Amino acid sequence: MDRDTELALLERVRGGDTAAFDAIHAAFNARLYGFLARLARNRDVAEDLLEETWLRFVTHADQLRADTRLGPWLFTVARNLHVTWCRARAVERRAAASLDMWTAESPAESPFDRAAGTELGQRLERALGSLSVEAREVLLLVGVEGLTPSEAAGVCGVTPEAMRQRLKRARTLLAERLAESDPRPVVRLREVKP
Amino acid sequence: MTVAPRDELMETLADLSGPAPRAAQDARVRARCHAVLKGVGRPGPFARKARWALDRVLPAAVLIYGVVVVVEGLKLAGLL
Repeated sequence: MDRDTELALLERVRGGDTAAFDAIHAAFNARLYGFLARLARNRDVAEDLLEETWLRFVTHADQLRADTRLGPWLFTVARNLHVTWCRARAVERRAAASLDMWTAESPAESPFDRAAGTELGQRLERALGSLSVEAREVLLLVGVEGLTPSEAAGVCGVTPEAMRQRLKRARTLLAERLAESDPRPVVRLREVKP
Repeated sequence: MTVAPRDELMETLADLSGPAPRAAQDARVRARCHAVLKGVGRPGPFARKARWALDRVLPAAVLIYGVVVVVEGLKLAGLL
């Protein structure tokens, strides 16, 4: 979706146009779902968070600035909802642990492992899943969703420089995890002339 | 000679595809959002104006109250 179309659709949504909302929904829904599902590693949770993201969008549509960039705005809301969910889950885990009710997470193959068609895709999904949420969200925003490091910095509430550092660390970690899972190289090195 | 990593890894990440959200769930979410956009449960124009006015009047009232408290305090201390 180009910027002019995005601005026009946003203007219409601010006026309560449901067809414009559907167009925005169609453009971002799968991307938001993929982002949330890979962050949460749980389909049901991702769907709940996705629903809440869209509800926040329509509830706040008339308060959005006319020049709002929809992608970063939606990913910021989705990411913040996931952070809130993680905090709530951490509280629940502590409570469950204190009651000796905690059970380990299922080691079963995730829906993404099954969906990732290629062997490399499956390895990437597993390697991504093994990273911390912080590292994963950076790779998902920049690598998978194609946000610029500056946009991703805005989504995560850090400076662009901090985001570049995070991205570098996360990328290194991902390459290491991939190498651990299979010694065959995924990342080739190229020669850079001095 | 410097050796730098080629960003093939990021390119592979960009090509990664995940499962799509369930269609039934999508339809339900869209229906809920349409209801919100059509104004179901949304404040009307009067309520929005009242909220706008309240958002401006309340901080002003708090500010005036603060000034009065400070002035009275200074009077009590004999500085005014």
